[in-house]
Parts: sequence; structure tokens; C-alpha cells
Amino acid sequence: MNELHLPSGYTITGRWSGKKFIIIQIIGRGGIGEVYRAYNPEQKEEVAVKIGRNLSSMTKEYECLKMLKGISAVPEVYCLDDCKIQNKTFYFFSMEFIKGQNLKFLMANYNFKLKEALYMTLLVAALLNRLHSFGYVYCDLKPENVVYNRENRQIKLIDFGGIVEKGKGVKEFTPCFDRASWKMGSRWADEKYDVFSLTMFLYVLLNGKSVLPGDKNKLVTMINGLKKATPQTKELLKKGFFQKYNDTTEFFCDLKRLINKQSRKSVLKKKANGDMVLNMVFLFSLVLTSVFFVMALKKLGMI
Amino acid sequence: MHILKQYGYPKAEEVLIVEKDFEVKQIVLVTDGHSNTGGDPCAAAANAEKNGVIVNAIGIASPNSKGIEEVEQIALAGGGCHQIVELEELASSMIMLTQSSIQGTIEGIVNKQLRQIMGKDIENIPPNDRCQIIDLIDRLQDEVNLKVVILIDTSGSMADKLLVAKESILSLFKSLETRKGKNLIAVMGFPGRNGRTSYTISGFTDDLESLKQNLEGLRAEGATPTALAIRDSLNFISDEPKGGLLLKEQII
Repeated sequence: MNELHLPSGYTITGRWSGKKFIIIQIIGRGGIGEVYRAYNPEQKEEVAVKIGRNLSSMTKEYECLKMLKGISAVPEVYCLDDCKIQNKTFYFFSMEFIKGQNLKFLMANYNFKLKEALYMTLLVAALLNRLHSFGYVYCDLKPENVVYNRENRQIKLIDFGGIVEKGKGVKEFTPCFDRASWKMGSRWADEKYDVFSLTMFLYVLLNGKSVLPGDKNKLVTMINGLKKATPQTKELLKKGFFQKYNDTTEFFCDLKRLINKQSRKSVLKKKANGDMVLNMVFLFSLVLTSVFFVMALKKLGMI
Repeated sequence: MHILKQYGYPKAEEVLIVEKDFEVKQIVLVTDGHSNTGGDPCAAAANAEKNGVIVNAIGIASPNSKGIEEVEQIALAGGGCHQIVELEELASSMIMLTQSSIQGTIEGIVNKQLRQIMGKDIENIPPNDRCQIIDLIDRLQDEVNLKVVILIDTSGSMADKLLVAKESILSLFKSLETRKGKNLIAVMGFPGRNGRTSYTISGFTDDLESLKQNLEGLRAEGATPTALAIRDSLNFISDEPKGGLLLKEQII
């Protein structure tokens, strides 16, 4: 609906600020607008520009991002303005251009290991927890909305079009990550709503692709069918899907415990392996020495 | 809101008042093809709009759906929005269109009042001064009463899509139930049986269980008389079939 398809090189000029942005390419298309990579000749920097027809949602997203300024995983916003394109008014804001790849893209080209998926989910859990402490529920968590930067190994959340205050209704959702589509709860935005999406996020990272919503039984079958997951991970997924965690903090703690346990286990395993090698070397050298000793004695004619 | 202050209004809320018991009325048409009998659906949609009922239209794309572009014309005439979607996106689309029509209606009312008070609408207020008005629009959008008819094409070609359609209607209900305002949802199918143009699957209700039960009656057969069906649902949604504008606004 109202897709813009701005060509590269197209310049949009802010009606109020007079700021110019030269479009480089489209980087995303969502429910309320499109996001472009663009160049700001005045500041000589690359930015992202989100543009759409809906004045309310564009303004609210901008205001919300401004409020969350300072959280490292939230993009910084710069200016809110309007522009005319083909005689229609569009609303836009510019924000920090985020380098990296979104996890959906990454997933298509890379198979997440269990450890990586768990760690990625832990980072997102911490971030959601932060948003919750500000009184917001993110609502639209999915791999597409998480960008991973290989250079500094950081993640950022993009697209805050669905964020709402706690206790309001969910505005934007993707059926696979929406607990109501799975008949696992309402569309009231509470912390548990994000916990469900977060659990599905982990599942999708492990599964390699998203799924169509079904019912409780489908969730159980999905968990059981996961080859990569350990029994503990399956337990975590089950608790997450069945809304056993009251908030992201509980989920976070459980997940952290799981990760610690697993890394401890692998360290112990390595240590055990190492010991075995050492023993072998020691034994081998012992045998060698004794053979050498016997040979030396023979040569000396003592035997 | 310093602009309103300049004009002597300390708070936007004091000047922007929408009558409490008004309701937004809309029809959401769901079809997978074009109308092939019974007149021009655009004219029917235009008539609905004239009577204060917004017509939104969703086209379900499928390999054998012809003339699905018609939904754009219908929505345009009906003052609503349209979308052409895959079957899996039907629920999201229904929710999106319903919500944005409510928003559009409220924005229209607020803008009208702003023009009267300040001589300009929200578009012509600088972006950083819009917040308070937007908060108000947001609140009204949440509080306003809603009456919506889902008008669903149950002609033969829809047979394999009705299960998803049913789930989508229930999903719409789940989204609407988070609003503060009262929501009444009705479901109509077209074509009707025994020569009728349409039939009521579920009368207006705000109860999930009865909606669920009524939706069991959703079955597919017959041709696609879109125009007559829009006319029928207009009669159904309007208390007084001939007009009576439903949105009143007032400045205090």
C-alpha cells in the first residue's frame, strides 16, 4: 500500500528543516513505511531515513526513539520532518545508519550453532528487559528486526513501529511471533508478550526458518523436533512458549544459567580431553625411555 | 502545545472535543476475485461512504484470481483502504485496515476542528508541536466505539480459504478487544442462498464465544455479486438505512 520505490539519487527535502537527503537504496519495507539508506550532504554522513504516509505512527515512533536515546542497542534519531513526493505529503525521520546484517538475512546464509543462538537471544533479552524498565513493550521481535554487526560484535534493534506502552493493545505483529495467533494469550502488551516472541526468536534461530502459527500441540512437536537443542534448551523453550516466565528477567536468568552450565561443561570436557592426551604422552615417553634403557644395557653387554 | 496557547487556548484537549457516543462504522470486504453479477461495486461503495460508512477492501491473491485489482477501486470509492495479500496475511491485513480507518476518521474530525480554531490542519503545524494533538488522536482512536461488518466472499473459489478467513476474523477480534471503546463485529457472506444476494453469518456481537459459534456457518458456493452485497451490508450497519450521518463533532 502506497509503496514509494524511491530511486537512488532522488533527493528529499524537509519542508520545515530544509535538510536534504539523497537516497542511496532501500533497506527495508514495513507496515507503516519504508526505510532508505541515504546521504546527508550537509553533515557529510550516511543516515537511515524512515518515510511513510501515516503522520501519527511516524511521529510516535520518532518520539519514542528520542526517549530511549542512550540505550546502545537502540538507533539514535536526528530529525523529524515532512516532504512532498508526487504531490502527496510524506512524513519521515532520519536516524543513525546501522551497519551489519539483519538476522533473517544472516540465517539464510549461515547455520546458527546452539551456543550462538543462545547468546544472541540473551543479548536481545537484556535489551527487551531494558525497554520494559522504561515502561514499553517492543511487540514485534523477529530476526529481521535484529541487526548484528560483525565488526564490533554488537546487536541493535531496528524498527520501533510496533513499540507500545505497557497495558495497551499490540499495534504491529508478525503471526509467527504473536502469542495470540498461536492461541497462547491475548494481544494486550505485557512483558510476557515479548517473552513469547523472544522464545520464538530463539526457536527460529535454531530451526533456521520461521513457521506458520498453529496451536499448543504444534509448539510441542516443534520443540521435540529440534535437533540442535539440548534437553535444557527444550525445557527453556517450553517454559517460554507456555508463558511460565512472568517477565524477561526470569527468562534472562534461566537462559544465562543454561549458557554458563553449557560452557562449563565444554570447558570440563576440554580439560578432560587434555588430561588424557597428557597421560598418553607421559606413558609413551615412559615406554620409550625403558626401551632405550634396555637397549643401552644390551649394548653394554650387561644382559 | 504552544501554537494553541498563542491563540489563547492553554490546552489542546479543551478545544478538541469529540462527542462521546459517536461510532466509527465500516465494512471490510474480503474477496478473491472480481464481481461478476449484480451491478457496479464501486457505486455501491461510494453510496456507503456517502452514508457515513467506510468501505475497506482486501483482495486475496491466488494463481486463479482474476480482476483482483477491483478492490483498489472499491476502497477508493468507499473512502477506505485496500490491500492485496497472500492468504497468510489476511489477519494482519484486516487488523491494519480496520485500525487505520478508525485513525483516518478521527484525524479527519480533529483536522476539521483545527481548521476552525487555527485556520490550519495538523499537516501545517511544525512536526515538533504536533505531539499533543497526536496523543489526543491516539486516545480518541482507542476510546471511540466501533461497528464493523466483515463482508466475506463465499463464492466457490473461496472454499479452500474460509478456514483461514475464520481464524483471521477471530484474530481481528483479539486485536480490537484491547481498545477501550465498544466493538461490535458482524460477519456477512455473499452470495446468499436461494437467490438472495447475501446472508448474515453472525449478527453484531462483542462476545468472542458467540462469534466463534456463528462462524461455524461459513461455507462457500455460487457467484460473486459484490455490489449487491455491499448495499446489503450498508443497510445492515446503518440504524437508519437512508443516511443519518454517524460522526458528529462539536466544539465546546
